[in-house]
Amino acid sequence: MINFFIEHTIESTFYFLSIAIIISTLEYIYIFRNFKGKIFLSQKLAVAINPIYKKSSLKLIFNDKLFLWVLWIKIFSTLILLLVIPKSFVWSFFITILLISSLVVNFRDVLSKEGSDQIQLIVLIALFLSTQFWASDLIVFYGILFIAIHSVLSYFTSGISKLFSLPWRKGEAFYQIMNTVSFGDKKVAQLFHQRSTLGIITCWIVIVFECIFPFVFIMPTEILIIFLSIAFLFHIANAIIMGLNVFSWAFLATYPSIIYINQAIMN
Amino acid sequence: MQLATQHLTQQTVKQVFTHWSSATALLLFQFLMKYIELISISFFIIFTIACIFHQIFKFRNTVKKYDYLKILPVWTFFSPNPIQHDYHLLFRDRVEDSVLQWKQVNFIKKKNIVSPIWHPERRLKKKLIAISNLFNKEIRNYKREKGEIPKAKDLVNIAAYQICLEIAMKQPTSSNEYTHRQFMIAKTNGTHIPSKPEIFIISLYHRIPKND
Repeated sequence: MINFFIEHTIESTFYFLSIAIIISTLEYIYIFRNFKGKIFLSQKLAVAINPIYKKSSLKLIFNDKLFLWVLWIKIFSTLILLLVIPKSFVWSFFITILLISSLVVNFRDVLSKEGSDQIQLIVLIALFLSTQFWASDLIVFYGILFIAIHSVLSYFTSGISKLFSLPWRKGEAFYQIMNTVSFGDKKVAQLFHQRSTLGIITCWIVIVFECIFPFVFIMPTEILIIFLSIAFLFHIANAIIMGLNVFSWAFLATYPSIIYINQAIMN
Repeated sequence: MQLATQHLTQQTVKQVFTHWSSATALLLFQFLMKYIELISISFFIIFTIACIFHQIFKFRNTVKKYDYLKILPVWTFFSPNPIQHDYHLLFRDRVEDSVLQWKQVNFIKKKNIVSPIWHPERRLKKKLIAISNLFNKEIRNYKREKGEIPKAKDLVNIAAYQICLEIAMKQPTSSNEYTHRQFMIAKTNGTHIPSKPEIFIISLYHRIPKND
């Protein structure tokens, strides 16, 4: 498995990323068809929140009807890229289209973006720069390194932020999150309400796991695989309990790069 | 170690240039390649440094000024303050002195077996949280400028108010008799283990537009 990810780092990254892109874009299309979603994603709101959208040129780009088209273009270019060899001329063309459409969607969603949307965009930028038909081996290496560093940075920053947070240190944070309708679950909330020790253990496992994430670069291969599997299971648990369904695919897309860099360092 | 990509690339393009037997073109291509390489690697480095500074609260606003494409992330994930409130949008109708009960606008469906794969409603719920944060920001700004808590009439023109009003107005009425509608955002300190709801924001009464 390790060899597969090393030999096909770019391809495997894009396969996982494409799942995240397709799901999240279809979700945008779905909520855009719902009137509440349409209001939240409307050009009217974008203009009200960010004055930059008042510019006439941007008014056209961020037109509501055009926005829906941009979303479909994003899906279409992702599907085409799944069929094309990286670093070919066709690949270069469609990854450019995919990046532009992703930037438009990212810029347009003025209210709130998810971490999964952000990591998707970062991986996509790295792939865009490192898989053009003219890209040298050196750029490909830097692209992979860039993805790996940002993945590690995301876990590590989150861990440090939790370490400095009193509710996380006291073990209350997990229960507080589980007790919300938005991200929680009734049964888990009740369980953590009854057993406060469980809350402390869970919070500290998350803190320690995220804080030691940078060690992925220097872990022996077997430990690395176990570590990344735990990270993936953590995302799966988040998808089941918290409904954060795209995170698992978006972050999985960064793991081949972590494996690649780990092997480059360890060998 | 082998790099993991197919190579229809530099070599191919170089060959094409060689067949054209243009030494100048080849030189130009190599120069261009080095230039693009330098730009790409510089971007990777600068973006990473900017991203690191963006994580530090003290520098965030400074870095944000230069993030024209809004691509710099914040990786705090439910910290330092974990989310502990649910926001609920409610509305009620009125005719003269008769006022109906508050009704809730549903934003999120109950999680089901497909939620780990397909869960678009969470984006709507997250947007309601963002709208509530917008209200918070406006209230803070108003307090700082005028030294008092704003009343509903002071917030009518802000984007967050208009959005909530638009959503509330699109909810069906139980009877055509009711002429005015009011909305409220209520905050609960967690929902599964019930807590007393607080009124976060309550609007003025607005005339319900007639469809006919």
